[in-house]
Amino acid sequence: MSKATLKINCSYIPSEIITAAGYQLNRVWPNNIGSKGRDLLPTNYCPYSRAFLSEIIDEKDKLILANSCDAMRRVYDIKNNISYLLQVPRKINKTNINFYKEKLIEIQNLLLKNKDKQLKNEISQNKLLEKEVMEFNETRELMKKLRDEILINDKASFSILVNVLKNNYYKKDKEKIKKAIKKIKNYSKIKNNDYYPKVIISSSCLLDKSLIKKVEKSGMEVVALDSCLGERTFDFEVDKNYDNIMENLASSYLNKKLCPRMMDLNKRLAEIKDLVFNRNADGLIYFIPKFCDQSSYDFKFIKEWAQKNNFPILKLEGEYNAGQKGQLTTRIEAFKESLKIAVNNEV
Amino acid sequence: MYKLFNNKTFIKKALNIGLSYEIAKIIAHWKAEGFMKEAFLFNIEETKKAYNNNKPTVWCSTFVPSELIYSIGGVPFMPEVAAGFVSKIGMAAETLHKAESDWFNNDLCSIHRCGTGLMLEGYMPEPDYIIASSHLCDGAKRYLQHISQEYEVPFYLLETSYYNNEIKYLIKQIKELIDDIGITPNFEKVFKRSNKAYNYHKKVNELRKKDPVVFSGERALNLVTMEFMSFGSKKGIKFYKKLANTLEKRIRNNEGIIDQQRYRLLWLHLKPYYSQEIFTTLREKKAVIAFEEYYQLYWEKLNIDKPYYSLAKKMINHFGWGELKEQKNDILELINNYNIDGVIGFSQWGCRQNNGRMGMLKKELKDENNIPFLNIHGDLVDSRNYQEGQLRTRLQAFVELIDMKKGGK
Repeated sequence: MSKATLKINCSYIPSEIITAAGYQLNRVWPNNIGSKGRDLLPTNYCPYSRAFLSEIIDEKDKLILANSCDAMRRVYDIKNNISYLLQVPRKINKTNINFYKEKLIEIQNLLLKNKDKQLKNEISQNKLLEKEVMEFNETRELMKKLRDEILINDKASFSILVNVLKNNYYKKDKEKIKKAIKKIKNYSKIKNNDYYPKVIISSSCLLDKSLIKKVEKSGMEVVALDSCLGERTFDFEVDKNYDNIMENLASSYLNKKLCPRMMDLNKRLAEIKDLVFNRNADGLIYFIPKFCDQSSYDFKFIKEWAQKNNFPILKLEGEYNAGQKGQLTTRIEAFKESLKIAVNNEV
Repeated sequence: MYKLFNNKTFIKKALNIGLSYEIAKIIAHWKAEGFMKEAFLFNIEETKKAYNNNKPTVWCSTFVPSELIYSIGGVPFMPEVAAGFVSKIGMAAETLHKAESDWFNNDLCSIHRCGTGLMLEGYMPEPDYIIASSHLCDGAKRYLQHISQEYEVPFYLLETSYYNNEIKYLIKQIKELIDDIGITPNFEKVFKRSNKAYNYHKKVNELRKKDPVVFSGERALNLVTMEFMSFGSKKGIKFYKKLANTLEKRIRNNEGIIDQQRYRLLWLHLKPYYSQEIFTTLREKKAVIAFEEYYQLYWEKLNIDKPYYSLAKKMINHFGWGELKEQKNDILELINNYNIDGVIGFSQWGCRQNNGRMGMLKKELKDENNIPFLNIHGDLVDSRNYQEGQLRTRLQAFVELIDMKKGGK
């Protein structure tokens, strides 16, 4: 019998709990705002939420929605009959980790409600959770390897990472990830002598890969994808202390690389700085999905640091397929030129 | 006078000199009376305290209970309220422009942009610390956190539980916040004041059920600062007491706010604070705002034996927080209690919670309950996008629709 599917909206929702309860996990990554449910949210509204709503509007099975933002709460308003709204704390401290742990236990109980006794049994459920933690840790490791392979091979595009993340990560399809790594390893290693400015792409949610393609096509090298549709989903490990597995999950997920929605500014900035220095980036492109407060304030904060440190930063705003918009092309090209000039001056 | 308001140096100096507040008080005593005088005096006193720094000035979002701030001996200062005030006196465009030139996107809530502009221009009193709640509004907490960075003062976030069964989480955070600030709270005095004001407010809400309408929604929303900031203060009690007395007197004298009133409307969310013709247009069509969503007493009286629980409950109980059906049911109850003919919802540009829900409320009320509903998209403080002619036509058509529904009597 095929497993029931459970859809989610956020990388802070621990996958392990869902798969251990016997569900097939589906992180919803829409490609565009569909035709359904368009009239339910205003047009001047978060594109991801609108696209997400369109994708799940006819959904009959359960959903777990993270209480990420006002826009996601509006999606919950519409589908609250089948959804569980998970309160994800914005700050990381003992009180919040404990609270999050309680919420995760609540989800686990909810998911196991109609399951057979064998699965519900505490010992077997813990064993299943341990197994899922190991499985996902291995999958995360492979995703990191894939990213590293992309980084060392200048023929490989970061859009491969997006494809694998969307199609294989949540399915723990390790073979497919390995295949992708192998494929990149076989790419030609002949170095191009031209200089390609190295840029980080940052966002709350990068909607799709069109911007990556556009940036790479314009002659820049993407060296980091700071987005949930990117490295933030897999660039961490769940601690292997299985004595208190729920606390472990709560702590590991809350402590992963921060989403702009979180409010620990020092940690967020430290992570951005790490990316800049470890990946040797020349600049940062910040993509704000239209009408996203989280990204707007996060950009303002990072921009201030960048300005103080004379680090080039470009703000882009858009909806789905932003990379295909002519206006953005001009700005990306101009940014590349300015980076080239800056690098040449340094040399 | 207008020229003085446009002189930045004059305003900044006036805000920091005790004498200007004394002059303002004399004017309030001279020009205003009854509840309006109390409201003016409250605002003058609190603003003075915020600027003279004898007590800690606590900036907070409008959904943080003022009783919490008074209990810890602080002066609540709500920059969102300040934004409404500067819009009223015609200064919003300048402050909005200032924020926008400092990389604040113009699709962010204008209230927050305006507040940021005020800070950047140096008009605001310096905070000692900042408290934001996480519910209802993503923008407020981020914007207040940004301000805490500018002033380098502690920033506290109260992550508001969504469901009642999560209340312990919020209680714990309020306790931790107070411990961290290190002030022993005086809940008893503040809660007693809050509850007294609550009793008078309850009376006001009862009196507003009478016909004709004796207290206009426009005025109620102009005085919304009292809803946000006065609970727990002495002046809050006086204000609601005098308001109740005035309304009683008006009812006795059958003094409606307009002649030949025909339609009673309910207003959802806040109203634009710059000069506009919305309420005049309605009055011309013999329609008045009989009640506003923001005037609901959505919380229970505060219990001195359970202070943290009471404060947390007040936050969680907010009418805009929690499930949509709860808000809808509250509105239906208001429609019934206040004999409402139609509902006007104001969708604030950049307000994701209100803007996002207004369409759903319209669907629920209009399509499923056959209640006339007008959703106005606009801006609370930024008059740059205000289109009077278009709005006037919509308001007139809306009242005509109500008239038709009532059988054109």
